[in-house]
Amino acid sequence: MAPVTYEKVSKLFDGTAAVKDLDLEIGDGEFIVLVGPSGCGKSTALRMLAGLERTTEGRIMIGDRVVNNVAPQDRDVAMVFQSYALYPHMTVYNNLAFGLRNLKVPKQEIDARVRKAAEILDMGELIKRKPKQLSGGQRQRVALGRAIVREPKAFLMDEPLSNLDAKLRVQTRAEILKLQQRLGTTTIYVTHDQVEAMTMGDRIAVMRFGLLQQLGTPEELYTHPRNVFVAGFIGSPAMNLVPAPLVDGGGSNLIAGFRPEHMTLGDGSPDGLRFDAKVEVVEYLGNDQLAHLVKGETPLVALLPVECRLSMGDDATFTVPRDKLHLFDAETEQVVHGGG
Amino acid sequence: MASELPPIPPVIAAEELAKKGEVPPGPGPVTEGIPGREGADKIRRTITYVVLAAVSLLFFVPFFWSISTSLKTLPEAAGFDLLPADPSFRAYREAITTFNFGRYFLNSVFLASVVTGFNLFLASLGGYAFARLRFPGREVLFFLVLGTLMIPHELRLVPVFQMLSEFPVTHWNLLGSYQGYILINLVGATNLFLMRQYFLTIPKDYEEAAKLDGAGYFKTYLRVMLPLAGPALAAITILTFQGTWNDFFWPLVIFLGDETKYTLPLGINQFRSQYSTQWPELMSASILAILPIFALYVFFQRYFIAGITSAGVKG
Ligand SMILES: Nc1ncnc2c1ncn2[C@@H]1O[C@H](COP(=O)(O)OP(=O)(O)OP(=O)(O)O)[C@@H](O)[C@H]1O
Ligand SMILES: [Mg+2]
Repeated sequence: MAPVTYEKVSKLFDGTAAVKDLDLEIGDGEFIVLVGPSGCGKSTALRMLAGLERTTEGRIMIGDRVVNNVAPQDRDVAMVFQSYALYPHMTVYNNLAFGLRNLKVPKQEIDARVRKAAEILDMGELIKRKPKQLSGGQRQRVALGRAIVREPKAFLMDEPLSNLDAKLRVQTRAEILKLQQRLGTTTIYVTHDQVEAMTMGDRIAVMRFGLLQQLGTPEELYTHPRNVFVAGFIGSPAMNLVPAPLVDGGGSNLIAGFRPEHMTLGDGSPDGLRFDAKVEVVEYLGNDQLAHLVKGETPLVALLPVECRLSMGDDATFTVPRDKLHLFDAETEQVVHGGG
Repeated sequence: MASELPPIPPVIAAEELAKKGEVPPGPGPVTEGIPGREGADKIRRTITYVVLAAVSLLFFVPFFWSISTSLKTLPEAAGFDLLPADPSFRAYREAITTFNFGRYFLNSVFLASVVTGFNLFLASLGGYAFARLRFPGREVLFFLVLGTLMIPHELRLVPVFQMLSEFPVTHWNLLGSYQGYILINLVGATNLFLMRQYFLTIPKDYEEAAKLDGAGYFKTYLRVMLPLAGPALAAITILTFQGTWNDFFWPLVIFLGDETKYTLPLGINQFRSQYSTQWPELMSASILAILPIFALYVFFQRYFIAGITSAGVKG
């Protein structure tokens, strides 16, 4: 267990930057999620920490040791790959033991550690099988097991859940969190799924085009997005982002942002933002309904209680409380006035 | 990157499913051919089988002819009868006893095994380097290796002969020695190429995992990459063993005159002289010589086909 620090870290591939000037301080035992759209440099940032990719500029530290020139195996980190990369010709036991054997850990200790990891992950009876005799979920657990037997300073996980079906993913998400809390190991977790990021991270680093957009707790990102990109990326359904004059929110140099779940039908609070829109489609979600609206040409989405009676083609009035309104500079896309 | 890994179909052990009371996910009920298409399918299948049968016959007839000849007498062998009138194993006995058949056989086994062993080791090691390690001049070197495929044996004859007769620096005379033969067959460019292509198809994730697991280059090669290259290794085993076993040219050049070092092809050749050929003996010896290769094929067939197709298609 150790803190991890990125100091002005950049990575160029043939002159184009995959990661630019990344500054990130990850506390001891913290669970941090790197999230962003495909190609934003999340994996590259993680792989530089693992030592699978060299940094072009800047320093990476694990604890207080600069690891830029340290070989991967000497960094004392363990990685869970998206593909799991379990050695197909080795049994589960040997998959877990391989790394420890290379570290010349005594035999009894290897055995003890492997059995303990197998017990933690509830895979006692699988230990003699080969990877191809396991289900997707079981393979995922073996991949986690291979990381935890190493008792490393940090876990690095690159989209470890993306090969699981939706239900198993939710379940495994919780299991990884429990495991991390139990072991208290610093964890850097990469995903492109903002729901995964919101539910798992102590803090989340949102990246785009190799640049860190915002770093904060899930709540901070949700309530105080620093720019248009983060505002639109975090939260589901996504925030409505429209020219401010359209909803009487401000001048034409501003973009107004408000979340579908903060919209109410009718006049609502007196100081709220009020506007008319036309209902195009209504999606029934059980407790709620998702109304797709248009105002002029601009599409909007509102998440409303299912009691609100709406039908296609209706014109209706909606209200957004002032304190839930975000305003962004249309030019720089940076926040000017942040919601409550 | 990670997403290049082929998706691994989840396989749940049957017992576990039985425990959970679930039915294993298998292909749905097999639907019979599309209505109205059975006729066309049947015709197509018939044609396929007829063609395959014809081709097999084409290969089988000469082979059958050899077997038949090996059971004939010499005067009979000159005729065109398909079956021997009075089949006997006389020619086999002759073949084994006339010359030192056992010795040739052992020589062949020895050389083919050693050469195959060296090829497996060096081709996989070199193939791994060409596929994965970055070093200056890698591409140029690889093209040089491939380039050697374009030089016919006949062209190499004189230089190789000279090199072996007075080996550089040490001035050993390797002509007529097993070492000489092994030396010039240490590793074949085809094998090196085959291994490189195969290694290129193996996802990098395994090596990266091994790297983080503290395995160095050689251990990664030996413990992770080599076991994954089974089909390619099987293909090399069979191709190299067979190639060395059947090799006539280089043993002739290197062992000429030293009958104790003859391999089977050289031995068999002795049944041919300038004025006559002892066909039944020659055929018997040939058939005996084929047997080990035949066994090898039966044993490795599955891997062999997998190796050839995967190395060829995905490369
Ligand atoms: N080995 C490489 N050589 C050249 N360019 C690369 C290499 N690896 C990554 N890149 C580029 O760097 C950028 C960032 O890639 P990276 O894999 O970090 O993205 P990512 O955020 O993990 O995306 P994804 O969600 O699709 O995995 C991409 O534009 C990619 O094309
Ligand atoms: Mg990635």
